[in-house]
Amino acid sequence: MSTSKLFSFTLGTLSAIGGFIDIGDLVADALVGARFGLRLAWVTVLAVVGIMCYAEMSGRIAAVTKRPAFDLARSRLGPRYGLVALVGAFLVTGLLVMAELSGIAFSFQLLTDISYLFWVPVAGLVVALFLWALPFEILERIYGIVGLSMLVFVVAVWQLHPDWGHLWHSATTPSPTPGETWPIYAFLGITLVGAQMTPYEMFFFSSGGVEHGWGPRSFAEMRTNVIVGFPLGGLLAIAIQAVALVVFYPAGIQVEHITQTVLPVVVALGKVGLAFAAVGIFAATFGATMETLFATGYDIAQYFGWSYGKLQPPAQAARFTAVTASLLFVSVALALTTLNPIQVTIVAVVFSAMLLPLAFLPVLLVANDHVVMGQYRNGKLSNAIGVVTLGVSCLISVAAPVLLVYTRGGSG
Amino acid sequence: MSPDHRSTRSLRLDLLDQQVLDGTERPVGRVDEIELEAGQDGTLAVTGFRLGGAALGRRVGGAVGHAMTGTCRRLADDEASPLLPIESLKDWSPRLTLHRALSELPEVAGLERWLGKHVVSRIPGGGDARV
Repeated sequence: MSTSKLFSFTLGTLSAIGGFIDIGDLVADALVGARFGLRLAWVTVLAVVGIMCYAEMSGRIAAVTKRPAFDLARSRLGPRYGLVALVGAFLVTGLLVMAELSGIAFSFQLLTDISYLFWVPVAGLVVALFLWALPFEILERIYGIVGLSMLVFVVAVWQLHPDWGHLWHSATTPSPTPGETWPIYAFLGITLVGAQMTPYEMFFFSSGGVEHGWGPRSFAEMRTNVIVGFPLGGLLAIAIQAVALVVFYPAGIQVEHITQTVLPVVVALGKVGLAFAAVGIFAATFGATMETLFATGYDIAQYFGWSYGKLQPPAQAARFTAVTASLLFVSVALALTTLNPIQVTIVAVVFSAMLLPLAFLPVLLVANDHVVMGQYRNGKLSNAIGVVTLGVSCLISVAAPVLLVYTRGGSG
Repeated sequence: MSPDHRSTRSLRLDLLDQQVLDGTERPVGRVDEIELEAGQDGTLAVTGFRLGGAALGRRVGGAVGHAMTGTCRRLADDEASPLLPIESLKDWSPRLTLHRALSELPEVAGLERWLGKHVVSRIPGGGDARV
């Protein structure tokens, strides 16, 4: 393997980690860790396996058919199914753009102590300028590498000198902590699923593959990204849960503000830890803002058949450019209404979890289609994991709205 | 979805709802409607297809489809989603490709053209909308 190829592998993997951790994870993991410790860590492990399976499938489909996942939802299941899936994806991912933007603003707040509301328009402007001026590949690499400073959460676990036996006991006890109820346990489990199995990652991954001109030869690169990137992202998620368990749980602190998620790192590593965490949060939410924004634009463009992406000059993908720019503008406006970003994030990830079957079904169908995929269609392993994941996601989409109301968004 | 290894083509799988590229491989839309004509002996033949929201709205149906068709009609200069003859397709596989470039097809993708010319190309670095 040549050095440049190895380099490209590494970078792809890095951006997979960066793509995995976003505002949803930061919020959900800290929230879950503070209330249930590692007792929901098994959900993260299963969610990582599930999203790996579907990311691999959609990457493989993109490489074989030269078409991204959303394109196929319409051509296989018709314009009505496609429209319902599109509207669902638009609402969820649109809300996430606002939450991710607030995340960028919070990272500035952590460093400057000026309210995030001041930074929201600045963050919107920075995102717009970067997207306009730089090719996506470079942006992806920048936030992939800078995002590694999130690993400070893993270092913090060690520095807090936890009782490892206690952590292990928590991770192997799949039931609510004393004083908490099963419905809340289930609801926060669904929140984790929604935060970690995000369809936008899948759509983005496959659309990027089409833009990069993936073919069957790119399978090795694509799979390396999936097999290394997603589990590392999962490890990071569990680390955030672990530090929240060590610092917040004994003190009975509830996570109500995004800035609280970095407190355990400050306790463990002081100012340097805070700096790393702030930079890491900036990179993760910055990357996620671009990904959610583009994923929404891709979804719409692919449904209607517009030209999209960054390969041609913006004026030749004018409808795509107009849609993404408007969405960014509306998200800035929404964030400035002082809506609580934590609440918005929770609602967005729970709705995202509810809509998972809509996103998974066409991918699973196409990946099994003999006519389309030929020799590259799903093997037994992909199908087994894919069908189980789809089944569980159907159960979740029934249970999520009931639990959302019953537990009053996890607060009751 | 390349139909290379099949002897017949399926309207549902190979034409309807498929992505259409112009002569320069630029995406212009999807096949939103197809028009069939019955011959003397009752066999149906595809005569043409339509691209655009007005045609798509008719297929989506209901209030949403109605709104989609109505919006596109109001935005269009002439007829929204005009019929393109099936002969305007150059290639079926691996993707539907037209003979002509979008710049030679003034009746297609009006909104794209308008936004490109009046909005996006005016921003520095926006590129040229005419190509």
